[in-house]
Amino acid sequence: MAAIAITREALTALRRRAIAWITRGETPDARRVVLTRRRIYILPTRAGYGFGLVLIVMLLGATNYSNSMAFALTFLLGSLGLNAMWQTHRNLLRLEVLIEGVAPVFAGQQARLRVAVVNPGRQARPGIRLRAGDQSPVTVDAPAQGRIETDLPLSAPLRGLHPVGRLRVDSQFPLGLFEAWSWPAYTTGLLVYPRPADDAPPVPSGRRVGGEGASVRGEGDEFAGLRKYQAGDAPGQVAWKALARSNQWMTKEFEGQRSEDRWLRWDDLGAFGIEQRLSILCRWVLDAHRDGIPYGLELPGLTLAPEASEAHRHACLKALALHAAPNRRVAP
Amino acid sequence: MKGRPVPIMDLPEIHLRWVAVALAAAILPHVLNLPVWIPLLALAMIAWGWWGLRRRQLPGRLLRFGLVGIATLGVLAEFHTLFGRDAGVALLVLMLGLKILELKGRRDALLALFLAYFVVAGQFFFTQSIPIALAMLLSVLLITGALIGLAGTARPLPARRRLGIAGSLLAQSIPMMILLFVLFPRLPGPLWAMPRDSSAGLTGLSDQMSPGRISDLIQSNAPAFRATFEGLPPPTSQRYWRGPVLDHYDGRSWQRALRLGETAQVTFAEAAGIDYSVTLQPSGQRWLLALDYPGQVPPGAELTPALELVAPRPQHEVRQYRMRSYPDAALDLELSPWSRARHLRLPEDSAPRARELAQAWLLDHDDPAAIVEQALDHFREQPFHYTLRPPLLTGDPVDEFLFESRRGFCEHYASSFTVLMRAAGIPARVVTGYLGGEISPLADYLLVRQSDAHAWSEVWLEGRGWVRIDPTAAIAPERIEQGVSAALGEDSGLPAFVRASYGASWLNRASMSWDIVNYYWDEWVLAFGPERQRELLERLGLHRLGWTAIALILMAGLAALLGLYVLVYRWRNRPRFSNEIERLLHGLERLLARQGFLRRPGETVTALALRAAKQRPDWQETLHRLVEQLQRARYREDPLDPRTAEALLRELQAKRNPPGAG
Repeated sequence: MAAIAITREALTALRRRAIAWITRGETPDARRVVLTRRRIYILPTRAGYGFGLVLIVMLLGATNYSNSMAFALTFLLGSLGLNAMWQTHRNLLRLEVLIEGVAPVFAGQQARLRVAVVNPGRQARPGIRLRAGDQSPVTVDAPAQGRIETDLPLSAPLRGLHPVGRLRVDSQFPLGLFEAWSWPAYTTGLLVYPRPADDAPPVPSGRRVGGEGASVRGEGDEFAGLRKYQAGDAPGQVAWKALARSNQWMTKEFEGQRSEDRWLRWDDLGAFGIEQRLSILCRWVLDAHRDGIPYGLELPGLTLAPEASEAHRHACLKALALHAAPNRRVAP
Repeated sequence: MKGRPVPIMDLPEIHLRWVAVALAAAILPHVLNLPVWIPLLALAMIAWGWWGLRRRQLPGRLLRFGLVGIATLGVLAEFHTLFGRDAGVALLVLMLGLKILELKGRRDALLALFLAYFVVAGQFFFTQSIPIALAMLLSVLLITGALIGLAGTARPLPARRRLGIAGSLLAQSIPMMILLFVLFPRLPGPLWAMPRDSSAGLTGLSDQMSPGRISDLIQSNAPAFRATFEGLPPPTSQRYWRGPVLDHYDGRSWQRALRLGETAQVTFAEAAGIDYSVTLQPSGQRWLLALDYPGQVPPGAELTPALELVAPRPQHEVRQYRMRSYPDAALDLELSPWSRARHLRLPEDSAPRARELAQAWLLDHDDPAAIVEQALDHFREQPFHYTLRPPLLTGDPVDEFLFESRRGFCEHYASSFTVLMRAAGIPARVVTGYLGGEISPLADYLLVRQSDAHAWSEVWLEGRGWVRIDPTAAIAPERIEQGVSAALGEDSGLPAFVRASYGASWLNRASMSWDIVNYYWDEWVLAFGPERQRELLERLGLHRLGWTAIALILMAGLAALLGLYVLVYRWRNRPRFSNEIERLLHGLERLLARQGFLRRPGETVTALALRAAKQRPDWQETLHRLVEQLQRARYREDPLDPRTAEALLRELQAKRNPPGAG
């Protein structure tokens, strides 16, 4: 089993290097690649080889019987194959493949890459298949002088900011006898947050971490603002007026609660390895965000002040994703 | 047995429907060639497959195996073999029908469609006529349309679109096909043994003549061959086309004898030659027909001592050859004793009354020529009758015909005349072939049909060699002058085309016009084999180049056609602008795009240009001037000076590398 796995890995590596060598003249772009003649490759498919075999047998039969019409049919089908070849090539030619965006994901999840195919030609280009890595392909029909968008699954095994890299765009249209393909490469980054730990220690409470002057929940005296209601909030804190106005459950926060801000600290997790720490911190960020309680993040060399917003969550997770990550040539 | 629901495949149902239609289109024309139950059974299975697809039910494996068994046994019962042309094609057709019952996915569908191309090719082993060729185009169109469905589009293409794509692919392929047809190096076949049944269904002269054989041929309207003469064609009465010469008589039928150690001795005056070419229909026989007497041998053929032209193999394909004949040639002025004996031989007990009659003539005349005349007079004076439907002869065929029935046609007359001659001590033999033919009213060729089949005699006379004597001429001279229909009159339940009134009818005119089309088809398409290819290359002056050079020419031709298609495609897809401003905007956008400035959704080209100008100080001035010009032209309708705008664009182009960037 192990041997097989190793061989497969070696083959994959070999394949990768072969592709890299073939595409050495192609420069990756941030997000837009036009499939020019130099970027398009073409070979017969298995069906194409089968078709070739049929033609050879037919040619032998025609020769044996000196049958003129059998010759004519063989040559007609041969020409059909030749024409299918350039039409398949043409089906990709001058298509633009654009990366429209990709939302950050957690390591191990599947990202969804938003891709647009723009067809500048006057004829529709049916049967354009797109694929990222070894994920399952998606087929689109690009309308004449129009564009079509689709989501491609993209695997994200490791945290960090990774370039989207090479896509494979191929087509067998019209006859399925040839496959034309291209490997447009992109530097647009895919941000992968660390994988949230499954069994993390509980999120540190503000009091224990903050230490000084923390007051009991709801007992502060200066009104500080509203936040989302969470199960367990005291009825006295519920902003009833707001509920009546907008039918939304909100909880009043008072000045005194500020001191309860949570700090998620790298240094508190000294017992764990780097990736594990990041995993736990990620889980904490998610939990704290869910609770709607402001939290701050402290990493070596980076401190993010407590806050409780979507942007803050992203900033924290991004900081975790990029922590001590090797530099990559990636467009922001 | 009930159909089991089958998990239906990775393909939308519509693609499978297309496959079913394509297979049916490949099978249907075989109704003409095969015993009718075979294509019908295959079509029934396709109908079943169609119905099963709708119900999402296909027969289970056991039932399918049963059907394969039944199909195989049926073919075996029909043909007594599974090999050869007929049984092979029949099996292929049935298997194609069965294939639809086990379509599970794309691979099965592809296989079925490739097999369907094969089945289409199979038709041409039965007939290569123009209608079948057109049917082939239709089948190929449908099969290709089905193939397009399997090429993986996101949603199935509508039928019109598919057929449109298939049609344009085919239209592009036809010029290439013609190029390949003409230049692709042809090898002379066969590469392996011909199946024995490959001549089934063909008609032609056989190498023996027994009562009734030629009258079968006469009932056939099919063309035997067509001939084009370089000068004027000879008159009808001189158009004796020589086929097999029969010199061995066994009391009932005539056969070709072995002629060991003999050679033909022909004496002719070179100037009297007639030059012509013959396009021979497939006959399943080895005879190449030529006017009496052939003076040259087509490549690959040989000339026998009796001046028959024999091809090395039975002719299954249309073949064309050039010929030169000498009607006045003298044949075998000397006759070897051995040959003389052979041409006098009669079976001991055959035709006693005919022998008696010949002996009586021998007593009256010394001169063999006089005996010949006497015999012809006998046919003229006695109440002989020319008919294609003679009574069945049960006794000695010659005696019974000469003295009792006296009704018959060429083969009866030729046979009994030859027997009489031999009995009178004159070397004689039967020659079969064709007589006459019809000059096409519109094109310059002679059409000889199977119904022109004929038999006559040759007698050997001292000092003159072999002399052609046609006893039928004594009874029915109009047969010789005008053909078989004139000789028969308005008889008799025979096919219309052998009746006298047929020749002038509109039906015959239409049939002759259609024959012209067939003539060119045969001559330019079907007869195009290695020989004609060589001939054509010679005419084009390419024959000295060798096959490597011709293959290169062929590839260059194909590449040129492909290039032409690409050019036409690009021309049809060229950007079109309704005015100068649009053209310039397009140029500007492309220029900017190449530098990485892409239009955002909703952004105009000019807005893009202004954005680019902010980032590229080196372009700033030029861009601003260009944008101003364009906007003025568009919104204030100031006249645009394209030359200035063009110059600005070029200026941008010249400065396309940002300052400081490598």
